[in-house]
Amino acid sequence: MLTFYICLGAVIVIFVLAAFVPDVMYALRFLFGIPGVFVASAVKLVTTLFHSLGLIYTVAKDEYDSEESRAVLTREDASLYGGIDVLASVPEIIVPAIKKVPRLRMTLRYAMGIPGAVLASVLRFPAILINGFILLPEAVGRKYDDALSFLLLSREQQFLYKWISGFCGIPNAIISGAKKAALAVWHGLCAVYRNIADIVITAKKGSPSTLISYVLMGYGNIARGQILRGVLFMLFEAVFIFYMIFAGAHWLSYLPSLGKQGPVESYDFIADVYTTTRHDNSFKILLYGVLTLFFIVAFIYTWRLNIKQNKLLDEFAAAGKKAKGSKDDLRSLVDENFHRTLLSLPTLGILLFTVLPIFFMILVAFTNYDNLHDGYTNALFKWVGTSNFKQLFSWEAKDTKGTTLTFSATFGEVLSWTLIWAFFATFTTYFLGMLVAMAINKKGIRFKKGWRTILVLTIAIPQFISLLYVSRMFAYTGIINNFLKDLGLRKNPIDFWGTGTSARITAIAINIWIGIPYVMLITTGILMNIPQDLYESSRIDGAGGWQQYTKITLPYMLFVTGPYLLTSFTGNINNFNVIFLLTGGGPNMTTANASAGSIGQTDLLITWLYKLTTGTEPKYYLASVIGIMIFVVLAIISLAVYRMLPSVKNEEDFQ
Amino acid sequence: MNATDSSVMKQHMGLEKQRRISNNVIHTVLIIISIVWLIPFVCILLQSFRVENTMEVGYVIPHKWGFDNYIYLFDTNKSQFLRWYLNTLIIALFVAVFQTLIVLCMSYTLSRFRFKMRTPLMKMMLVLGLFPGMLTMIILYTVLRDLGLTGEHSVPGLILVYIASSGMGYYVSKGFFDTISRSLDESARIDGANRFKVLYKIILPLSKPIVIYTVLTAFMAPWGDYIFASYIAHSVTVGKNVAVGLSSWINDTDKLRAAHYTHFCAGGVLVALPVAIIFMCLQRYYVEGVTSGAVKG
Repeated sequence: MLTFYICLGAVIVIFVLAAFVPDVMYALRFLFGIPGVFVASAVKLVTTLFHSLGLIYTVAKDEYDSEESRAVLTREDASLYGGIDVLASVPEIIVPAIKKVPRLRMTLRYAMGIPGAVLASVLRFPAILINGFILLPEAVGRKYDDALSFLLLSREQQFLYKWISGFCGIPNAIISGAKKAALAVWHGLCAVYRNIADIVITAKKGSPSTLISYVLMGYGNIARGQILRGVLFMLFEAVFIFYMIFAGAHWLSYLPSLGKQGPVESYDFIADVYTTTRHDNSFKILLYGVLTLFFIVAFIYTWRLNIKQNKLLDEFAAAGKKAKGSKDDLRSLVDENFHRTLLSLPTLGILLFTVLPIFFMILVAFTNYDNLHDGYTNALFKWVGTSNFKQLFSWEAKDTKGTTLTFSATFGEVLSWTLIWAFFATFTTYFLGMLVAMAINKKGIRFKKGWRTILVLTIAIPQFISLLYVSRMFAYTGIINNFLKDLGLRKNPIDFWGTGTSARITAIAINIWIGIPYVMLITTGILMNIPQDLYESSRIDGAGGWQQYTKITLPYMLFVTGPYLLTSFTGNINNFNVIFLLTGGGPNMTTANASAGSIGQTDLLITWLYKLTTGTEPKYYLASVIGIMIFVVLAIISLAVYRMLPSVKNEEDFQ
Repeated sequence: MNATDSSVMKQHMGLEKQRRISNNVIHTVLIIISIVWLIPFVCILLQSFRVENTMEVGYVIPHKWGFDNYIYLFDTNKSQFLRWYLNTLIIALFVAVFQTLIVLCMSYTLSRFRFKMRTPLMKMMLVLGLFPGMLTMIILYTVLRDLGLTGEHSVPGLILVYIASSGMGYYVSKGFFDTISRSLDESARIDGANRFKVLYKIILPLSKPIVIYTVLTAFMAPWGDYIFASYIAHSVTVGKNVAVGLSSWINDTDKLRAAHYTHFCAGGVLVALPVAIIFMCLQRYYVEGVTSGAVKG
């Protein structure tokens, strides 16, 4: 543990230094940028490969063989084209006769071009890497950060620069975040000081009725004609004092220990049975303790409000103005204070049913609340500090073969599957759904409404019916396997849900079935909104269908539906229904750490959380830790993506 | 007709032909997609009429047809299906009414009023939304149990849980209210209407689509909810909703599945029919809602 704190301290020292010493900052950003170079070039390599495979087609058709048309290509494309062209021309050198048969020639050149494409892109790799290292100092110095000089770079350099400067920005982002947090704390302290000062000053200058209001809330309001407000203040104070004396103080005093006397077992000689006498209830102590804390905060806020109002009344009296009466107060509730009327109920609901429970559950993560310590019937639970979080990284257990299974490995596996799932579930449905929408939208397709209605059935019918049924269809003895057998395609049934990999793939595939209709509905309207003249003019310029898609449709759709993609991704991370109803989390994960409970290979974090809170051995503290981890993951993703969203960044495009 | 004209004609006809072929391909693909999409539903429907046994079998078309499965569902001595159905229907109706009220209050206020706590409130709800809602279930269950609203009395408990935090789902309708011009409000205010009247007389009549969308989504959600319902009902049979009840027939053990497989199918049909019909009728509003929600985020 000591080494961890030393490392943490060292990192903090470096960052503090970096904030003030430009040279350190420079070096730091440089260091952070180096992985960026590698990542960027690796990504670029893959995209280049794909790109060159696409170029093969044009090579085969001799599309850019004239000087002018080659000038249209980007520098990178031109060099790739050249590389591919050399290999593609091999059949013509060998067999001049081929020239006479255009189709065959094209196919041959296409086939010959593939090694050329691979070779050309692999040859590019060192060049990209070198280019990246050259760009690194410039990214650190933020040389191309204004739009104009950035546009002067070649397309490839723009891409590299963006990636590298993204990595270089990490230390900056951390430091500016820390600064913001520190500032927020400072502002908070200032506000507290200002309020205290105001309370003291008001007391010094205040009229007698204001001073009485310091003890007896609302007295000043009543004395000066605001009967309704005054009575409400007094009522609130009375309720608060009453509650604190008869209940609140008790719960609050038990909160630090979460109960002093656990259940006691005693032997009853006469009846010859053991009886358990129950005493404190940790759950209730925690719950009512938190509630009391909320209540105290609310009281302090109201008390402060009461003083503010009395100060205002004092000022009114000095100026000779008349304060608003009860009737005005009531009338304002449907007029200038209408928002309070409208919001009171919804926010109260959120406060009691979301804020309070979440606060409570965050606290549970710092206790040992589980089935063996349920707080009342068998044992009290108590505070354990941060040990649950520490154990997330250090829990170890041995399985029957003696292999060590760390808890962090289990957690890591579930987390990575959750992210993989969310990625595939989001993007497969997104692209396929868009494709279906485009197909239905196409001119000349009949029964447009009919196709849509059929697809929408999966939204209209409650998921538990369709998913449970489909899950049975894919079962070992299910309809699908039977059908395959009857067709003679397979002798043995496929065990779709049997192994981790096949269950995962099947789940993603079935999710496509569920997800396409949503995307289709959303994208249909947006696709029709794309200005048609964009397509017209691009067709005149000679763009094919694929180019139109990648250059017009896709950018437009990504721009407009960016927020949807984000919410859909985060929604899929928490997609309880599909996984739970399809696989129930199974098949069992044999390599799981014992403290993880019964966990399966398709379990997402959210279904794991559910399993931890139900079943025969619930582990509530672990569930809370997982819940907090889900929050952290979602917060990081949302923050990062939200900053990258084009619709947030450059709102003017496409408008 | 000269040479160039004919070549243009030829090219044109080629394009026509190409388009016809590609449209035919697309039609074929769409037909295949439709079949894939419909198969599960057709299978459920067919198996709900199978009477030779109630087990899960490998074939789809029943050997003997009949209404036995439906009769079983309506026989209160044998199954609790009617009770589950009624539970869900009551929950759905209550949730539809109250959730709509709450969501409209919240979204209208956040769209129209500018007050001090507005941005902090919205930020707070954004952060709260990142916590998995299931986390709150542990404590809500215990509290509701102490209030006696779990198990057989789970219906009021579930209604409470569903509507209490529904203010958090204000995004879509707030986006809608944002599109209604504020000059309408202002001119009414100048004519002497108070804020309440502006909402009641001017905004509400204009917001029919979003009201229908909110009612529709609120009404449909309880039919499919599994997590909260299974938690609150806590395996007491009479307190279940259709999702928990029917899934207990098909999901638990092979034995249960053998006894209730076709009953599940029949129950599924009975649940899906009204919900799907309502949804299909109001589809237009749903599409409007999700589209605007997707774009504004």
